[in-house]
Amino acid sequence: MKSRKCSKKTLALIAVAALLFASGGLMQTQAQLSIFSQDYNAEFELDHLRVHLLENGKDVCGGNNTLEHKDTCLLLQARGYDGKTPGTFEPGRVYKEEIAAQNGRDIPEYVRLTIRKYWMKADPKTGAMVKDTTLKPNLIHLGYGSKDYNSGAWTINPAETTTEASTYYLNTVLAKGATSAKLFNTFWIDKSLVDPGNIITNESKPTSDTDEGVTTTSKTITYTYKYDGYIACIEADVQSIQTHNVNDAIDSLWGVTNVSASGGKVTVK
Amino acid sequence: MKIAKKKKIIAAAAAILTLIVSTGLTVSFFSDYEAALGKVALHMSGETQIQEQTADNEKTIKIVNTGEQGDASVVARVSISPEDGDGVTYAFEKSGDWEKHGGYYYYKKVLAPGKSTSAITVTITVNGEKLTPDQMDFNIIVNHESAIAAYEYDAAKNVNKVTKPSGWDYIPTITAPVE
Repeated sequence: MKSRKCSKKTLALIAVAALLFASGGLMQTQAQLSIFSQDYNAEFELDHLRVHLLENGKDVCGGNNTLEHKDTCLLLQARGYDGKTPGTFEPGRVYKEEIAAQNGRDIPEYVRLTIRKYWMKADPKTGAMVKDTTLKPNLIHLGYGSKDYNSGAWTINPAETTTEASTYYLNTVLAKGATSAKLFNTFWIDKSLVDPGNIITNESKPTSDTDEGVTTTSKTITYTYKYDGYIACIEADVQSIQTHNVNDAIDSLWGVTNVSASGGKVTVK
Repeated sequence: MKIAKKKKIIAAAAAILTLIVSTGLTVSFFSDYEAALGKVALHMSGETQIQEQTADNEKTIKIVNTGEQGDASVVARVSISPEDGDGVTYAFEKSGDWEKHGGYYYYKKVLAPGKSTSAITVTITVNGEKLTPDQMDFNIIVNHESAIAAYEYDAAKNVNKVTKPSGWDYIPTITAPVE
């Protein structure tokens, strides 16, 4: 009797499975045979946010950038990769360095941008470039006209400011596809690095030569400065978050308690 | 009793699942980032050389930045002190790249590595006549100085201006655009 009951149940299950399979097949067949109207076709795209880091109006490294792989993306103008001869970088000279954010999707987003500045120098033992903490990061300058940054459109967060890093919040929500106001537009290295106190050697050597009645005399001046070979580094990190439940997102993803957003406006307390 | 216990277990499991699902929704925020690094090497060593060529009654003076690509750009000046003598006159010929101020001729451009200034030519005449090489017995002392080119920003004009090197009392106006 037991085995008969089981077989009935099994049969019932097989019947249900067969029905489900058949109905699935029918649905597929129906889908293949159905004709749809373009007028009533709707697409739903579930996509994440996208934010781009812009330097002088262009997406840095073509938008495919991470700190690990792209160590020469920024400061193109200062490094002479705008058509000038590379290696003509000059202390105190202000170079165009327009930093901004761009919304790369159809979803509004809130944006913040963190800048880190530091120095590197060659390790005297290995020759490898290592971080140097003796030379002050504030000798590396970013600016906006005569101001430190574009305070009309961005707000610095004192709670996230150290000697090396600063975080700036875009004051308003960044609309879909929009480009933010520039955070900075200039970059330069402090000219105090070439003060007389930073000269190591300043040698002068005379030479003379006469050939076919033409006498050529020369005097060579050689000089070396203390910070020759140092490397100024700037890291820029732009981040965006959703506008819904934005304060939970700020708290959870950015981990700051003195920043809030409401009605498209950002407040840094 | 067994059925009641099972129902309780099922209800508890359902409640836990509901909690997990709702918690998952709360922490799933949308976000994105892009990051980049830029490096600029400071090239603050270099070498300049003055080249003087003497032929007939002329002395031609140039300054060369002998640094290699990547070395520093410089500003340069020369002082030319001819020896005084009866009836001896010196004529200076130079292009508009040079500016005389005080006892110096200042080169009015930044001299990049591998580049040379235009020439200053000094012609010596005695009583209005050119000297022949065997009559050349005059000293023209030429000194040259150079310093790494450093700038300051003129925000009002949005332009970079070369600053006076330490120890110099003058520098001609040399500008570079912000670009």
